[in-house]
Amino acid sequence: MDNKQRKNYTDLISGLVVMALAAFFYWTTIGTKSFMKAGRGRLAPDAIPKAVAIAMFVLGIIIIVKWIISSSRGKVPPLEIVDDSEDCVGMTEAQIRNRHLFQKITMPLTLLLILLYLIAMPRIGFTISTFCFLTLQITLLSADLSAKSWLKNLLIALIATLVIYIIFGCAFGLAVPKVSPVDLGLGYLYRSVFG
Amino acid sequence: MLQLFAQGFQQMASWLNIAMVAFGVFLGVVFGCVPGLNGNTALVLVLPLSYKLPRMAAFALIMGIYIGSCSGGLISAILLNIPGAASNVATQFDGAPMARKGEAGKALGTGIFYSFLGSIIGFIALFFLSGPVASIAINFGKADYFWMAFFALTMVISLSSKNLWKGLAVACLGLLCSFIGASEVDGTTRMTLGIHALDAGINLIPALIGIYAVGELINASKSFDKKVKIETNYKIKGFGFSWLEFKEQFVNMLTSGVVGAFIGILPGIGGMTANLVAYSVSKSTSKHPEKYGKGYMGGLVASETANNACVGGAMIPLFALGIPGDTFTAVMLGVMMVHGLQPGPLVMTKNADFIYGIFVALMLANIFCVILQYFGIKLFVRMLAVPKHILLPIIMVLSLVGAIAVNNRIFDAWIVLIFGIVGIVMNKLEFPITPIILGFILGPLAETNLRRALMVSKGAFLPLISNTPSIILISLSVLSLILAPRLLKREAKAQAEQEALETSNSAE
Repeated sequence: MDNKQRKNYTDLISGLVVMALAAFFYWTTIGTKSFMKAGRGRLAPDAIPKAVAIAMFVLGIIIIVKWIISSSRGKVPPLEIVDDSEDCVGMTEAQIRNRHLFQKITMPLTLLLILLYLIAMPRIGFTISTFCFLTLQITLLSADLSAKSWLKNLLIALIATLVIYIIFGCAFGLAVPKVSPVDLGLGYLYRSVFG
Repeated sequence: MLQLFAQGFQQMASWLNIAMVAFGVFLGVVFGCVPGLNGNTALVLVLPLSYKLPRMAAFALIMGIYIGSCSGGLISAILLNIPGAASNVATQFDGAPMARKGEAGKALGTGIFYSFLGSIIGFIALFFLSGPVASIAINFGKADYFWMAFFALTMVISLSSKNLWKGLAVACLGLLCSFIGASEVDGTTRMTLGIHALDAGINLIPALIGIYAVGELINASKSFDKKVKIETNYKIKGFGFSWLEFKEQFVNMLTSGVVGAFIGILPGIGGMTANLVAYSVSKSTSKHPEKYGKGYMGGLVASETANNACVGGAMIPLFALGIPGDTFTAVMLGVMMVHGLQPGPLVMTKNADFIYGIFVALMLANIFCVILQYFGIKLFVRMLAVPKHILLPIIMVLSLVGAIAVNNRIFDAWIVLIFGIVGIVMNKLEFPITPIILGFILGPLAETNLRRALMVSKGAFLPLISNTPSIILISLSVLSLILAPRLLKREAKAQAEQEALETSNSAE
């Protein structure tokens, strides 16, 4: 069992994030022009958002103050380190290292893949972008970079893309971007088969 | 009422609708029993389909998923010793020991049968309470509506947060996100930073998909497909228990059902709290508390009855007031709006045939659920090995398609990504998620009614807190702040006791 412990800054960071978001939202309300005449009991359209943003800012301060008080009394429980030694039984050293590496990079890489996917979709069309996204994302989650795994993932991504596009893009006619010759060709094929 | 029911039957009487219920139940059970996936994931998956289906068929599908996903987790809780979803945690307490004792068949039969009874209890609650609640709410004034939204938010914050301040802070975040765009009272656009796509505000569905699905995908991707040992030595004969045992468990079943339905009604908590609280109540009122946790049928009965009774309960505020209590009903609210229904007390009268159609779908789903689970158990067990690294990316693509299709624009897919990041950060910093969602949904309701009420009263605050419904709602808000910690304590107690029992068992 790993007994390493780290100091827990979760609530300090939480408070700071809350304050930052509150300040951001307050800033977005500045300069709101109302179409409504002012009068008794007529709240301006930005009055309630401003009030909520201020309340949220105060809540951020409270969260931080509470953290400072309880950490000075040593009451904040230390950060738990996830122990996965049970799951790693029977793995070689290299496999375990590989596993931990993938666990670290999966989240940022997944977000990056979604970002690239959304940028690419309107430009290169639904099918090609989806095919690329699925291949890369499945490979990333499988944490296996062997040639055999790549081939398998390519095939799965291809089938999944075609099924999704034909059902949702063609049969249901949802407004996914249809740009590339592949998108248009499949659409044409679908119409000529099913009318 | 009978006439309305007949109309409901008429609404549902088509092969498409019936097939959709069956498909939904199947999907729900599969997603319920695979650990790491759940009913919400299944719902996100079928979103694009649900827009294109006729209204009744779409909700037949959703009802099927809701019922199926509540029940499916019992399979993995019993045979895998891992609860398939949070609503089956307490099922595992007695289900898994029963399986180890060679009573897996009995445990499965009991779980399936009492899930059915639980759903019936929830259904009865829904059937008899939603109408009266709606007819009270229909007479609400503007101030009352404001206090109702306030009450719902207080409940959610106090029930779903371990740290009250953090719950409040994220509820504020949800409110602020809901204010973006044109304000309802005067049409002024605000907080859009000049982005015109935001003029109409942020749509509920992309926001929910982002907070929920993206976060789930990332979380699930962190836990790699684990090797699991499946108990395969079982046979089901009948439902595996005797008439005498049924009579013995009758009171337990009723209490657990009522507890489940009641918890379902409360916003912010659902099946995951219901099964633990019912387990704890059942244990402390039982004549044999020492048997619990060691493979006693009573524990299983309590957990499975309660989590299914929750479904009916959770839909009462959704249909009667337009206030969803959890992620699943929140997405349902979004789909209702896509299909042109304005949720609120008026739905119960204006679209009564549709609502009664949903009631019929619910009953049908319940029956299908028993049949599918009973005869398909071998198939579902095989599904437990489904590779998640393939399934999750496909769900991700479909959820983006679902977001794009709401308004036919890519912009909403970006909303998914932004809210996804928000969800991940909130999760990492241990913020509760439900208050954001409820804040987001209740924000416009609260703001618009407060502003209108103040206009009517010419700025005076006293009229806002002086009529009867308002006074009752304010008192209930205060009461919820006092009582919620007790309920949570009960949930924590059940979990702690079980953990203590398990360590003492393994020490023996």
